[in-house]
Amino acid sequence: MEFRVKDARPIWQQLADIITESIVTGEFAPGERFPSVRDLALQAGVNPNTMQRALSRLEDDGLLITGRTAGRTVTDNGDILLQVRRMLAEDRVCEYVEDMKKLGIGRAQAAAMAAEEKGE
Amino acid sequence: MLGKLLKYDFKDSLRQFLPLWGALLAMSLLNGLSGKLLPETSSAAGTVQSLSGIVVFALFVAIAALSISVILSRFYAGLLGEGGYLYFSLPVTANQHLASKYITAMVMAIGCSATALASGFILLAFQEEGFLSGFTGFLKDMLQAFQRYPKSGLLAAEVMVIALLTLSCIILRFYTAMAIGHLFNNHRKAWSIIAYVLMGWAKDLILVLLVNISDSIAAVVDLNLRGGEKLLDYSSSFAGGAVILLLLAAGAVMWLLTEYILRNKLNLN
Amino acid sequence: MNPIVTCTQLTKRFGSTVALDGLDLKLQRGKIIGLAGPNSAGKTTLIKTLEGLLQPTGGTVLVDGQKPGPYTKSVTSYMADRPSFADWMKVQDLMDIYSDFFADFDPVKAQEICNALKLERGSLIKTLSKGTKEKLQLMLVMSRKAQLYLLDEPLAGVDPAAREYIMKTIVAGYNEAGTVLISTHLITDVEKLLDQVVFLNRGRVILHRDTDEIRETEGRSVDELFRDMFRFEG
Repeated sequence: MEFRVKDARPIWQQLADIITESIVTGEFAPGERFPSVRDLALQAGVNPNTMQRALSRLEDDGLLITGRTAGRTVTDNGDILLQVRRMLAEDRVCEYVEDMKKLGIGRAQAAAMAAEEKGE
Repeated sequence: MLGKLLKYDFKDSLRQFLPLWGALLAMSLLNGLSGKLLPETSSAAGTVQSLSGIVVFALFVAIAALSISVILSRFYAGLLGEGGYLYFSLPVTANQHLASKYITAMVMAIGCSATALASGFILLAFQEEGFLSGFTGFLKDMLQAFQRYPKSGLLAAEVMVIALLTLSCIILRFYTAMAIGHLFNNHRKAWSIIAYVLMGWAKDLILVLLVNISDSIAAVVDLNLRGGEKLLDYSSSFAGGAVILLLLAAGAVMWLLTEYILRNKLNLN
Repeated sequence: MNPIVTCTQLTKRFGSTVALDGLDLKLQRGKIIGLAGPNSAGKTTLIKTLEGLLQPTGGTVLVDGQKPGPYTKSVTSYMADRPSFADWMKVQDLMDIYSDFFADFDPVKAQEICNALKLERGSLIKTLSKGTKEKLQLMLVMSRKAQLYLLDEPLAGVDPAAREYIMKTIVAGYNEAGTVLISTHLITDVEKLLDQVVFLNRGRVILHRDTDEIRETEGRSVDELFRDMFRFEG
């Protein structure tokens, strides 16, 4: 995970976004053990309280599960992962459409360009 | 805590003094031996003797200078200056800091004196033919005198105590002057020197005052203690006892003042 | 629980200069707190007063309920803004001193930090560069399980590449029940470490807030807020 603080939103929110993305993009397998707050805070070079807040949001969202003894694990609930992935995808689409609009390219044409996109 | 402080203060001081002490004793031996072992007429003997003699003299001067400089700088820079950032972050009372510096200074000063005496002894032992036997004879006579006149032993002890207390006061006077200088925001060195001089004047003033009230003092001397003894019996001479008391009092005043300043008026810049 | 630090109308004068001017401040336990302000705002003066190296001219300062003295020093771990060690010592000697005098010094953690910061125990202090001496200071200070850590400009003498390292050492080392007070010019670097930030100016506290709350309500980073507030200061 690349922990980069980019904007003026609260740091814990940015951390939560970064971790959410890495979970739904498969960096962690469903059901896998998740590193402790302390380790993550160290890795990111942030205050453990801040990391704790970020992880709490992920718990609220259902992406992380706190076991009684074993610490945190990534959820293995496929529905939730799908849902979150879909939400992030929709955000990206929104951004894409907005960016294209700024370049004077309408929605339909933007969609067509995306379909033709072959990638590198 | 005090023991730990002493450990580090000793370590720091001995690493500076031990080489010099060792060199002085070695050079004195060299000087003495070269006179005895090498044939008198050889030029080698002459060179070694003179050279070692010069080195011995230089070492005497160096040790004297170093002892004063170390005693001063360990307190001024080491406690009230840069070194204070480390020392005063330690969970140690002002009394312990002062005690550690004071004890270390005393021991080093005594060490320097002892080494100087030993060096002189070695030089004399080699140079003068009858020195060793003469010295042993002197010691025997002294012992006999102490046995026959116990009070002379007391006198000798008093002299030692007074010497130590005087050394004490010399060191404490430096410390107190530096502590007083520390009370100011600027020009602390200058104020320390002024304080040092003023303390000297204060001492002289007090001595003059005491001499002028000698009548009352004479009355104290005549005091009858319980059992018909007199105060006078407990000191070989009144003067000895009085001097000791004065030195103790002066030392106590300086100690208390310095400790107070270190505890309540510390301002490290 | 009672605050670890309480300053009430704390004043410090140096001759005619007023460094701390009736400063009021309470620091809670278990927080990492930044202390920011322009030059001569009083940051170093405040920290030195908390450590007992300076005496207040007025007002009171309490650490864990007591005036600075041997007890507070036993629970406070202090890093000065410039390293001052006896040149003749080795790194190991300093570790011995810390281990001797501070019951809360952890030699295992000290060794870990030495390894991470690449400090050699046998090095002579006089051969170390300024940056390495800063790391040495940090290692000693963070190896203690203190209730209060006072770090005066821990990033100042350190090159930008090493700053991440330094901050990770702080996060890895500190006692989570304890409070860390970091005084700094480099708010941008340090902000993600902070629970709270205190802005100091002309010897007074002009702001003391949670960093999250600042971002949420002001929509700016702490550094941006700082620049806005101190745009016209020296």
